[in-house]
Amino acid sequence: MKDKIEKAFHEALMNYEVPYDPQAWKSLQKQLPTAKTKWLLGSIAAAFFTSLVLIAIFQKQELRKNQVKTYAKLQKVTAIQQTTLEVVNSKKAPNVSQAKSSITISLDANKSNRILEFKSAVLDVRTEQVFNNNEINQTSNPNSQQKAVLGQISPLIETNSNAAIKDLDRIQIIGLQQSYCENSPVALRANNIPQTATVSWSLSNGKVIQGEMAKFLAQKNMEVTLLVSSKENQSELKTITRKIAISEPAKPIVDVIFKEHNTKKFVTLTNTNPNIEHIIWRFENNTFKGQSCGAYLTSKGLHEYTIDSYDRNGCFYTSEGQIQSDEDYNLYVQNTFTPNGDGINDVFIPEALKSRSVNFKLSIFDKNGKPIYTTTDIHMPWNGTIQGQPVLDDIYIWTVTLINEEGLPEQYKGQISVYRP
Amino acid sequence: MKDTSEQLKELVDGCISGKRRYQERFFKAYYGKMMAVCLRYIHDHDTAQEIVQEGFIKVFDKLATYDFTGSFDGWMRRIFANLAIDHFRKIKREAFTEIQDNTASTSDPEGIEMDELMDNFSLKADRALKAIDQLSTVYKTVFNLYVFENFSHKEIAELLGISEGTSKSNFFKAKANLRKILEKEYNLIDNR
Repeated sequence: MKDKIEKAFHEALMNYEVPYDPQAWKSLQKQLPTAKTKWLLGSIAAAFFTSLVLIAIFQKQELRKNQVKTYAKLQKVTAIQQTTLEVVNSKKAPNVSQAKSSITISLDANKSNRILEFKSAVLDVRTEQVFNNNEINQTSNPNSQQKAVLGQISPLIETNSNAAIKDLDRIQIIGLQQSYCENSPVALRANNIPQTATVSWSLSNGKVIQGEMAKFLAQKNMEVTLLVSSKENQSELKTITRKIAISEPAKPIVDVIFKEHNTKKFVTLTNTNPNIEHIIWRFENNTFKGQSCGAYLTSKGLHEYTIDSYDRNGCFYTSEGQIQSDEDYNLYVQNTFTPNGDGINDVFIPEALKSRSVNFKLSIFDKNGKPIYTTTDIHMPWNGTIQGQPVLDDIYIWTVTLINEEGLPEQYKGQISVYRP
Repeated sequence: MKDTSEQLKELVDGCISGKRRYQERFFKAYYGKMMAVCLRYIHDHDTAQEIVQEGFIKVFDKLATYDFTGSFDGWMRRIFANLAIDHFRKIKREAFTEIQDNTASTSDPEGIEMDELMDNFSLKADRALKAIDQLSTVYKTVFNLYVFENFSHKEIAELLGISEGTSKSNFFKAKANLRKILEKEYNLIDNR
């Protein structure tokens, strides 16, 4: 069983969350190992122990002709640190038999993991076929291990303009989500950029970002354009434009319920929009979490509340509202009484105390805080005297301390005017 | 936002494979909660922040060992709580040896009203944190571990190297002190 202290602290803190601090992520990020480093470390380790095992598929004739684009596809199999390089010919030549070969490649670890970096790799052949200066010969002994330099694959790609166009076709933007919350981060990457090209991004708000990664905040009516241009002469090779779709945050719908409670007005605010997942209310100097909140309204007038909400997509929305309270819910106390002995309004006791059988203490003070009268008996109201002598017509302070029906302490305070016409 | 278990799995898997995007999403989802955990132990914001950073580096490293049984939040909280406790040990070697404290807990009559008051008004988080901060290291730690991290007194005893009885009495003294701290703050009733 939890006691009250435990319960109060548990409630206050168990679901408490400190507001997110993007700066915290920035500084954490610096301390995390980067994915790239990891990959390189992996490759270096792999190259150190074995060397990478690769499968190459070549088509004889066309490779010899040195005209057709050949590209290598790298697949990383993380578990066993084995890397597969698939070298395929893009042009289908039906009458040419395809040769599959396992080859060993020693990678220059300083090259990044992008596909085209392999163009300059030196390939060692480990099968029945030997590739030498882009020529394929049949070896007499298929089991013998022969090493030969394949040469560079890159000239095959770069000397052919058709190939270059094909390369441009493979350029794509990755990381674009279907929709974003407004002001949430967008991270895009340009994929399959040829080595000979350089990229930049331009946003419809005028911002320009250099490099393959673009990070920015999603805004309404935003478009992002990827611009691929030649490193050599800066000529524009390709542009891709994408719209950034913004999903409108769901707005809370607030249901207001009033309840008379302990002679005060209790108001409950409840969100009825099911698309809202998470709400923080600020109401009557308190912060609440959850779909509803409540507070006593002790004074008349406007009571403002604010809502910070997150919908199912995590989109944030802040809103506010007002509750009008028409009455001063303060024990239904009159503000004047007339102790002149005429039998009308001659004594003072807060009305609400009469209808409730509660233990209370009513104290009257003058404006300087000097005690004048104290009673705990409902039948002993204040009659406007101090030690038997009538007080002056003036404003007096009353306080009521009571233990209510639920056994809880409550304190009230107010002013009462004595007026004898 | 609640992570359904599938979303959580995707997030965790993404982090295990070292993808920055997932790590950031993960961080975003848990920063607030874990910072709240650390602040319960270490009220100084900058120090708590450091522990949080250290914690996330550790979590990213250890995520692969989480087996998706039991509460993930609970698993996380224990990691961060442990780091905070390590921090106490670092700055003071004898952080959890017993201290004699005679100020605690004869229940005074105000206590009853206090309990009732706390039923009626919700305790705000920052006030709760401030109150906890006024406790001694060992009281604070025992209170936090028992109330929030769901440790049993036996587990607390093992973790801090104190006896189970000490853990229990520290817990009660911690509560008595918290009560006093709050009472002082609320300073209610009878304003004559």
